[in-house]
Amino acid sequence: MKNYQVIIIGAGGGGAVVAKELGELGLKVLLLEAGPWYGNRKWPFPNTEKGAISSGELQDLDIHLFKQTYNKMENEMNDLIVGKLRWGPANRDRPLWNRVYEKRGFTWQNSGVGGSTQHYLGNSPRAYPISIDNQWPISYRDLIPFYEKAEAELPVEFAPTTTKEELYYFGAKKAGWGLLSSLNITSAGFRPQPNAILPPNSQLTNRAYSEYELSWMEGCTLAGHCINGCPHGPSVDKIAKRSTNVSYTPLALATGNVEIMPNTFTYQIITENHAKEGIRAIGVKVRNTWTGENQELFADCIVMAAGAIETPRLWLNSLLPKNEWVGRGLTNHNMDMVTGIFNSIDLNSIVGSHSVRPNVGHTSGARFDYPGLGSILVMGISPGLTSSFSYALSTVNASTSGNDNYTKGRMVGKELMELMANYQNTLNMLIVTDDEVVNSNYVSITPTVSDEHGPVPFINYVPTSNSLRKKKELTKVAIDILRAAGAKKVVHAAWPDGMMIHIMSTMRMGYVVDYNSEALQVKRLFISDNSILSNGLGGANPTLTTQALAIRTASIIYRNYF
Amino acid sequence: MVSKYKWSYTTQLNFMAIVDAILPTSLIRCNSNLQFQYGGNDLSLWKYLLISFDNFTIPLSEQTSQLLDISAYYTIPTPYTYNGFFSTLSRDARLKTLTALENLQVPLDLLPIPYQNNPSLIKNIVDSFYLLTSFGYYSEWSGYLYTRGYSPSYRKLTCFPLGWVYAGYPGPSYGYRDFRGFLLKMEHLHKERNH
Ligand SMILES: Cc1cc2nc3c(=O)[nH]c(=O)nc-3n(C[C@H](O)[C@H](O)[C@H](O)COP(=O)(O)OP(=O)(O)OC[C@H]3O[C@@H](n4cnc5c(N)ncnc54)[C@H](O)[C@@H]3O)c2cc1C
Repeated sequence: MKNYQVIIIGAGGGGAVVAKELGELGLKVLLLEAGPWYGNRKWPFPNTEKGAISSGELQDLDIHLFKQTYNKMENEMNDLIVGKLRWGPANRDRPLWNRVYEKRGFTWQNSGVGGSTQHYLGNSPRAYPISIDNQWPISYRDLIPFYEKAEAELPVEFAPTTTKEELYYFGAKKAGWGLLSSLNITSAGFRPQPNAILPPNSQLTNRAYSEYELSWMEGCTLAGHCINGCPHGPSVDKIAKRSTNVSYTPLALATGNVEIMPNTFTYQIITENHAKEGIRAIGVKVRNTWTGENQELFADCIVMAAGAIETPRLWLNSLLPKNEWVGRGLTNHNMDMVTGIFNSIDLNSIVGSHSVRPNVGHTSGARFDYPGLGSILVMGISPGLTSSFSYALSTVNASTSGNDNYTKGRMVGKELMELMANYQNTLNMLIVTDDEVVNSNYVSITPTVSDEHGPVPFINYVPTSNSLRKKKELTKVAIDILRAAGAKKVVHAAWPDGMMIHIMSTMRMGYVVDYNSEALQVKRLFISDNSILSNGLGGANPTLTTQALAIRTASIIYRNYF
Repeated sequence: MVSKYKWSYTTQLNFMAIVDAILPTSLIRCNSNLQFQYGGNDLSLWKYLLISFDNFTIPLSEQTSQLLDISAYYTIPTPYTYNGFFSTLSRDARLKTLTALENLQVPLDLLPIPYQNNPSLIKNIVDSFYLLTSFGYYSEWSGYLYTRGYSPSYRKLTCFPLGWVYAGYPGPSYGYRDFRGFLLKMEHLHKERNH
């Protein structure tokens, strides 16, 4: 029984791209997704009723339903435990899907069509050439055509300037840095974020249109809550922030060749030993997360795109051939947060505004690139997330050392309240470190802890001394820029090293998959998510590179097997 | 819709004591004026913590309350401990207990399961106290009022959350007109894009 030519596991950053590409090439594709599908008529109550089994029609997408679900409230959307965007089944009365994590921090991923791009910031830089060339089996030059295709299709455009970006550019220039007018980054400097966010509506400053009317038109409205999910646009496929549920998914459906099955957790890859090809993938075993029913599905090729934690777990739970690099080489960009607080009078003379307005514009509209060290994302986030990530998430209690002239560590009580009373005058800098790949950082499974889908992932991460040194140097760059911009107070949060936001390189190209993204030891099994990145890209946000590779992988699958 | 949660009295007290240690009612300095600000418990944040702890993969609220009492016993000189002991301590002593716990300065083998000999879970739970309290306080959670204990799909924002007032956050918006142009445009890199 084979109704599909390709089965893809996971409809997130990578999976949805492969589905669209293969659909366009005329292949019959089944896209399996563990979480819910928001904004689809076949699931009018996606979190409380099981709804239909699958959908393959563009007409099923419903902008009214989408806006109802994506209501922009940070607790409703982003609460790690019961939020609509969380790592768990669609039914929010049920607990999260478990991971055993022996380190401090947490893994931040979303289930659901769109995967973790549902709350991503849309930052879509290319990797740094020095981190690809001679490090990957593929060269930077090889990647460029695929970058260009993804950039054109998403599309990617540089972020517009709002108050917070203007303040940052002022500080970066004053600190002696120059503008990087390029997509191919070979030196250090600042630039606007290349974002997968539609440019602002041309009528944005035209008062004849109310903000509400603008939110139903095409283009970003600078509403400021990218991180809590973007619902602005005239139809699902024209939503301003280009999460894959509103970009590649509608394009996939438009081909008429792609069927998407949400609420369907794949727990095993089925293989056979073929006379000519050797071990090869022929199907999957899945479980419906509402009913618990199991099913086997078959296809000519299988693509794993379940993300850098679940893909190695699935490999291991399927008892696929042993490979000492499966799950190994985990990188996370070893992040940290630095926050500047400004005073209104200074701000007025610098940017002509009495506040920084962190809740306005793209969540991250500007960046600093430093090949060899990593990158810095200039951000403004909603107040609950600000208080958590700027002041609460830390491994130490706050202290100020005299010379350093900044406070390091966690804030509580009156101090926290005073900082947050200045929320409108804060600017965040997220440190994104060029994190070194080592075999001792990994995702494996724990035979002793299982859930309904088998042994759960076990994660271990200890940064290398090189990664720690780079993190420290980048932190210093961020503090200097904030100071140069005139910040009156600077707080360095000192996050735990194990914060998992950019989760990468657990099924590395050259070690687990070959140059074609096909598993070295299992024919017809491809991987297309952050796990195949051979390293952490030098500290560039990973999704665009995963998407560029997904486009490439789709063409290889078509060429080699159909 | 009725809340499905039931917690023992001392567990409730201990969670109130956590919230009060992190965000107590305070007089804060704001633009050189002193201003009164309600603490987390005035917004019932202890319930947010308890609900969250019971929605982990295994419910943890009762065990966590015991964890606090035992840690307090080993941190603050006292002849004996009892259910709710943590909640009787001064704010300083409660913060000191959390710090001792975070630094694993308590006998790990004497802690309740699942915390017993489980340093990573202990550290992550201490982080959760700080994270959930601040996220709950400054997000819209308090605005759910009487629907706070409902199943998450049935909560309703019923008033303007106090945390938003304190942060000067107007709430989610349809858009802002603060458009100051572009520093770079993709089309200007066109030459580069075509090599
Ligand atoms: C707050 C936040 C902001 C971010 N911002 C950015 C940004 O601006 N730019 C950037 O590049 N990156 C960003 N990231 C990271 C970004 O989300 C990831 O790089 C990207 O989503 C990775 O794509 P992926 O395909 O590897 O995994 P995912 O997008 O997580 O997709 C995996 C999908 O597979 C599904 N799945 C998993 N297991 C199974 C299974 N067994 N069966 C069926 N389905 C399964 C999951 O439910 C999920 O939908 C951000 C992350 C966070 C948390």
